[in-house]
Amino acid sequence: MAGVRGDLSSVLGAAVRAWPLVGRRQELSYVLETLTRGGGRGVVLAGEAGVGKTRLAKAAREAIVDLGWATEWISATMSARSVPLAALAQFLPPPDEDNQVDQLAYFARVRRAIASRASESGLLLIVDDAHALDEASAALVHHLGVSSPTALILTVRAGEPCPDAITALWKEGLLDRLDVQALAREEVHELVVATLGDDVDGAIPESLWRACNGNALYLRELLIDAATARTLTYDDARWRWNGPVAGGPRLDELVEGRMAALSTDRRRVLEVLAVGEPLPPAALGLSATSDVLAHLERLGLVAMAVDGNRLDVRIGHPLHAEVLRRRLPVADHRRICCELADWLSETGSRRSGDVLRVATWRLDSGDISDPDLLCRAASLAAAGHDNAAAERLARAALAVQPSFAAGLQLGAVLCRQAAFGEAIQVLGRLEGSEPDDAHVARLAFTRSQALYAGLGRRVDAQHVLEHALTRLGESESGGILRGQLVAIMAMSGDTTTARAIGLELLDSPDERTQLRSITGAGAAFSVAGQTDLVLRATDIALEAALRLHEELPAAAAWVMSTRMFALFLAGRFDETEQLVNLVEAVGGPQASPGQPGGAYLELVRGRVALARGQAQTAMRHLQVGASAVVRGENAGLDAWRCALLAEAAALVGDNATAMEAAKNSEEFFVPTILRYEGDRRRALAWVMTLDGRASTAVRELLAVAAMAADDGQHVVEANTRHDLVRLGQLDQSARLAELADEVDGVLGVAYRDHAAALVASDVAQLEAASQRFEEIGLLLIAAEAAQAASAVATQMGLRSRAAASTRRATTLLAACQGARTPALAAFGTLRPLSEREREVATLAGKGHTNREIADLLTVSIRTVETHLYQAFAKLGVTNRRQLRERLEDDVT
Amino acid sequence: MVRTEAASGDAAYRHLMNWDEATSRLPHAHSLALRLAQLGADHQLIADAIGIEPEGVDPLLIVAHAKLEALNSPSDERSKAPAAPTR
Repeated sequence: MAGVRGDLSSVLGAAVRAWPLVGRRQELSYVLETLTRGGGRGVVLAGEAGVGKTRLAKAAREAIVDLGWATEWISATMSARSVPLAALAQFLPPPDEDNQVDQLAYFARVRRAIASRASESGLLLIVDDAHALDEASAALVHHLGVSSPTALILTVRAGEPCPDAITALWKEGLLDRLDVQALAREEVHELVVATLGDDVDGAIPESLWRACNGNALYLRELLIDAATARTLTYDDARWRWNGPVAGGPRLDELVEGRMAALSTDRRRVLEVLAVGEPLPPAALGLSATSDVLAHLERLGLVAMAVDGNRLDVRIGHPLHAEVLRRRLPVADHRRICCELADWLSETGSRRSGDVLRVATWRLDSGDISDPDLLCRAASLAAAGHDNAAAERLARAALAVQPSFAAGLQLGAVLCRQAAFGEAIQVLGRLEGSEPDDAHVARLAFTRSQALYAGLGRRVDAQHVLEHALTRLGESESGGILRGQLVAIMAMSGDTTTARAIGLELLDSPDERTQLRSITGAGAAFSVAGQTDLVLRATDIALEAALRLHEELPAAAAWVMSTRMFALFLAGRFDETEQLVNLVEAVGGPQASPGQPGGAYLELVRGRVALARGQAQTAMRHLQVGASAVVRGENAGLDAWRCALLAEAAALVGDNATAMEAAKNSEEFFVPTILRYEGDRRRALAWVMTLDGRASTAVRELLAVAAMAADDGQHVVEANTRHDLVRLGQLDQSARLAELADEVDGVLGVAYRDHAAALVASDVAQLEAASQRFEEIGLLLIAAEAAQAASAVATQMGLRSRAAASTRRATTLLAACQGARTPALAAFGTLRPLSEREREVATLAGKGHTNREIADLLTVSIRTVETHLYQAFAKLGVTNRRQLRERLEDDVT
Repeated sequence: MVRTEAASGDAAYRHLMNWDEATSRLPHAHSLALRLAQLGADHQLIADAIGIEPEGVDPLLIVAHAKLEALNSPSDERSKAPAAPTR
């Protein structure tokens, strides 16, 4: 579906009028089959408010009208409930003349009156919100269900009291009951894209999914409220969300409507939950079997779940809590916080998170009398990656009573939020007040992190580490600092030194030292192609990380990310993806796309998809987490992410995205963070290639290869030299043969054999290379090898082999989502000319100069050159005569 | 013989992995209902777990199976509107 463009009214219009039916194909099939099969009388669609029952009923009505049926629609309302038969007024015949109503006889007359509206095919009666029918109307609808040929669709709201006559329809088996469920995550993503179009910032669908929890009505209201408040905007040809995903007046009204009939006491229960959820019933002054909770649960306003030995009550939908909190007066909010903190303190904290909850409630109620509690809570919040809460608690603790612990906590959390300047100031004031060796090490570590990763001051960072190591002497606490030194070297692109020191640290008997050095040393050995060593080291380190989980909760993540880096560099993509999925599954909130950890997972997914040639999948992953990846310890990643995004976009011909991403990559580049630099520059070189600047790209790739060779980064060098081979630089094959012996795994060998096959122009070797790349998962390169095999076979007159290889290339390319490279374009037919390229090529073929073409088409000479380059590449020609002949061939 | 059994065991394992992966992409209630049904849970238990009435379990499972099947079919099959049945 074409995206909605432009102003606010178009957003509102599209969202309200053209709200698409997504994720309901199977439900609709079920309803239609039930209505049209012999003996089927109809369906009751049950579900919570806003889940899409009415939308589904409307879709069924449209489909059934197409089959020639007549339809009638009744909407029941709570306000009309006090008037008997009001909902069915349109069908009611006048009472008998003597005004005596025999109910059965009257029902029979109504039934006949309704039946008279049937077409030859039949009649469908839809009763929307049948739970709101008065008793008499409900009895009449039941009568129709029992004794009429009229087919029925009823919608009822789950949890609402329903007239017995309606309930009996499914209890007695007269109608099927289909419970309409909230949409799944992918369906919400699809609905967002179907409404707004493809050009949506990557993180928006996921954020909306988290907010609406699959409720289509809430999703719609969120979008409309956001468009009205300009939280949702359309800038630079993209939909962007500015600020948190939260509703506005329309959503408030909708949610308030659901709670309007509640007594003050019951609303109060919801307000307390909105502030403090999850809570056990006792915190609400209720028992687990309370009627109040049962009633609220039936209405879908609360949800209860057993967690360990505790029964937890939560608000039924995240948006309800949002609205309740927004509407709660500040004084009430403070009072509830105070009561909750008192309650949890009196009952005794049972879980580690309880300390954080008590401290947050105390702070929210204005009580900051216990700085130790605030400081401990800040640590817990930081461990849970809730940086905003950690900062707030640490600042409060420092304000009451300055302490080393609170200062260190604040400095660390400022680093994680990229506030490095303030972090350096806060941390600098702490030097000399460390209580012990371990804290000397922690302070120096955090300062070096801020100095290096944050401000790019490598020399200062190393100085801080070396100074602290001198103070610590042979103390065990030095392990963390030596690990950090290795990490900085690996990050700075000096992987040779990092490997020399790192090997010793990985072998250290101290597990903490091993863990602290795994990221730096692992990266250094990974880029060198020593994958097996890294995998062995991570196996050992993971056991240590699990043993030391309490002390170093992030250690498992260090190990996993190190392993991921090694695996995808080695071309072991399936294993990489399995690991990413595993980390995401066990990683909790910090593995979500909005957090740096989750953004890294999306980046790895994007890198893997790109290597596989799945350019559009890669783009999707690389656009997610765009704002999360740049922060704190992940500095430098965003430049890499943007370069990969640019390459993916260039592969599918999306030049605008490619150019913007390439520009951003340069802008976000941190000169002192070079761990990803080889891969980043390779990606940008591909953008140049696909933009028609092949010779510049070759020069850039040669420079990257030389840089990698100087530093022993064999995998980076092999990847780069193979790129050069793919661009026709066959003289790289000799060095690739040497590198195959340096790099663990199949990738180096595959590169070597592919290059050798191209040099030898050997059909069988090229076919084998294609097969090998396909097995590894490098489908785009596999397609290139197959096309090369086809070209060589054609030259040798081996027609059937050429045809087989072309078929193979075509099949492989079908999985590459429109990605094309020069090696493929040289074989022309797989990639059609765009309208503009054909226009330019035709004029060039007729003998016009580039200047003449530019004038004729009112474009720049540069544009003409770009189109011509693309046309030459796609058609596999090298001069204008060949171009003309090729175009004439195409016409004939 | 051993090879055949191993291959068939491997295929069954892969099938199970695919099934698990596919069900996790369904709406939560559909996914839960299918998993419980596969474990042999009766209608009452499934209804209690999902918070629906027992009469709703059969239709829910039919829809859940259809959604699962659609996930394993080409994407254009998934998104197009259902064919109108003929009488």
